[in-house]
Amino acid sequence: MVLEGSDRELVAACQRGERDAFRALFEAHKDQVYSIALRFSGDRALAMDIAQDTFLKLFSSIRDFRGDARFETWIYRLVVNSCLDHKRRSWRLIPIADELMAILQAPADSLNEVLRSELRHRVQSAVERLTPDLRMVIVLRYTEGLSYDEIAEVLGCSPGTVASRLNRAHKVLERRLSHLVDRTHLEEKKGNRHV
Amino acid sequence: MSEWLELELAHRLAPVAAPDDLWARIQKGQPAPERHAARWPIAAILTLGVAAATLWLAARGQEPPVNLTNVNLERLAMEQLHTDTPLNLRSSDPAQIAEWSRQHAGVTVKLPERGQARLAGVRLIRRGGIRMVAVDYSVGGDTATLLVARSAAGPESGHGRMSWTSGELSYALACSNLDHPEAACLLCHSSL
Repeated sequence: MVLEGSDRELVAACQRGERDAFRALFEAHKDQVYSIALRFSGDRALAMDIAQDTFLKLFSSIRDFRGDARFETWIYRLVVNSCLDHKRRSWRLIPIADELMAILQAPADSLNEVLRSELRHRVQSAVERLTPDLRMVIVLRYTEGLSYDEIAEVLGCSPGTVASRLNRAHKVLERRLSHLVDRTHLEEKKGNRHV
Repeated sequence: MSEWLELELAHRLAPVAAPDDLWARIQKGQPAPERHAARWPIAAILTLGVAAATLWLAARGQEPPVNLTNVNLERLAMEQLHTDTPLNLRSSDPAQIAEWSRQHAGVTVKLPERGQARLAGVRLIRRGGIRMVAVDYSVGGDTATLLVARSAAGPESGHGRMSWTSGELSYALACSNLDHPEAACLLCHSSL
């Protein structure tokens, strides 16, 4: 029974059709796949769909994996493609509505708490509103902690392109979130004075 | 890049654990259903839009256009006869009622200075964006209402039993005496 081992061994076992190997491979990579799906889509149900789709593709095409690239890179490509496929097939309806609900549901113990909650949702929302190519580099960078070279390998572009996209994404996010940060810091200062 | 943004992104986009039921879904092997955008927010937005427009129209005193035929005017006069809505102007002075009607509804109501009717006052009504006035009065023991609207509102020409058109104005009467509703005509006519 294959429950542990390197990806290479697991992949080889999967290619031989060992059922337990599929489960072990899933356990080894489920959080990674789901995290990317969730951070990219911003929606738990959609993230489940993307993760399911990714693993089904992975299991059905694992015999095609020949080890030319790192297995992890191959998984990243699968999940990235699933994310982009789902993005093309569906559209998220008015993130503003989600934001509004989130703000309405936020605990209103104090203005500071509301602002913190607002900031939390705004960050997620601001990321969701990035174009898919910018959003994906942000997710791979901050959710998975990949280097520019690793991101470039996953996305099939140059490290320079990755740097450019990250730079653009940062500028957009800074512009969208800076006012909230200012307000939050201001409220924190006021709160500290009261204490 | 700002340090706060780096920290926020690292914090907010941190990895999460996959739900326990993910494996069960994969084992079922069904492809993920194509997720269309939920339709309820669209319906909600449309409903809110319609409600807002209705409220806006109501606030402006406008209602959806209605066809004010003679029959409608008579029915409206009857409604006004029995309505609990207070009069906008309580007065027994024909000139005062006429002036108020001119100012608030743009209609000129010529009421006799002396007659068998005793004027109670006037009320402004809005129907289909049209302003009109209902003059309440009493004749003997009966109460009556005279409705006056611009004829452009659509009533037919001619003189009906309880409604008629004269010049630019259309009129309709309603009387509490259902056996002899013509009693309302004593507002202007000295005899029947």
